[in-house]
Amino acid sequence: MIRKEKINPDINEEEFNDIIKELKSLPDIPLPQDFESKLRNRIALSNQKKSSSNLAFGNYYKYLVYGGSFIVVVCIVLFFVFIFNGTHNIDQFKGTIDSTEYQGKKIIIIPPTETTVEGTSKKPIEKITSKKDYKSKEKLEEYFENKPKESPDKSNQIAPAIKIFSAPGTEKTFIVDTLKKDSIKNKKNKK
Amino acid sequence: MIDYHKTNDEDLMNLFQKGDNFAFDELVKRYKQPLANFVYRFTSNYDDSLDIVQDTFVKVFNYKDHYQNVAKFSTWLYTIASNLAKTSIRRKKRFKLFSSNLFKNKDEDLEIEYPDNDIKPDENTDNKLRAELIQKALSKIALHYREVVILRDIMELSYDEISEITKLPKGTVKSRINRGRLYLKEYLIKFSKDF
Repeated sequence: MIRKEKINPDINEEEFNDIIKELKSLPDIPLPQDFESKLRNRIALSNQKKSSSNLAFGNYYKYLVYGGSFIVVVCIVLFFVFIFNGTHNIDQFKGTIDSTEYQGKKIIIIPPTETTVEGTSKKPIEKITSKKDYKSKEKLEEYFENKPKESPDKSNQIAPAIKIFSAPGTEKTFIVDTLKKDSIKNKKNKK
Repeated sequence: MIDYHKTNDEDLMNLFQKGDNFAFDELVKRYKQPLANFVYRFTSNYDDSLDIVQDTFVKVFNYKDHYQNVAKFSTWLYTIASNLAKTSIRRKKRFKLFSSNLFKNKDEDLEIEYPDNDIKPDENTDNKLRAELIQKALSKIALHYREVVILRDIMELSYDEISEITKLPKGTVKSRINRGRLYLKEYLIKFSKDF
């Protein structure tokens, strides 16, 4: 094993005279006779590659690159704007969304948020701002019992579901009745 | 009429930059042998070294305008060759590591000895065995020591030139040369005993 400890850099060169001599006396490497012709071929080949790539794109190469990258960026922006619009806000509740049934109606419980929650394209769009519209859990039953009765035909036509937005582990809850879009407003007005 | 044999490297390079390809031919004639020696001692692989030497000259040809007359031509040339050689060695190391991992027996941590069948060029010399031994020892020492030892003791370049090629301070170069020689000596003693 070769030692790895610190070595004094100012070693006397005479110590290595024999090694230096041996290194200097090492024979030359034989070169093939066609070394120069091979080199010429290589240079010609590299020039050919260069010129062919220049011919293929010419001066338009720069514009192609810039134009292509611009189109890609625009596509990405459009993709996010149109495809993820509306579902993005819903996604942040993943894992905390809870659902239950109350009086035969499906109730979806979502934690309250400061942001505007928008439904996906399949469901009617609901805009709720949490702080103004929340109700406590204790008042939930009361709400359903005193809830104004809707005409059955209308409820079936729009959306037979009630959404209750609440924060798990907290008392804060807010309710959106999708049977009627303006149910929150009605409730407030009644109060 | 220009006498290319008597023109110095830097002037030849100037002529080549102006479009005189005969000047380039003269530079190839002058440097193909020392460059091949340098790269072979560095890589320990004959075929690779020829490839690297050719690549070096191709680079000189294609990037002739990048050369500035403030530096010595030989320094510029050795810098290109050294960089190409290092890249080749690292690539090979990675490949060897990858291929040896593929076929490695997990129970036995065997040290794989790669056959030195690459060492061919010294066949016709009297001290073939000694040359092989030196080459083997050279290939064992770390790249940064190997480079400076070869440049100093085989290529016989000055400390300033080596410092310019390796982009290291002169003191570091000297210290690396001495350390490299020391490691080389120890490996040579070890291999001589094994032989």
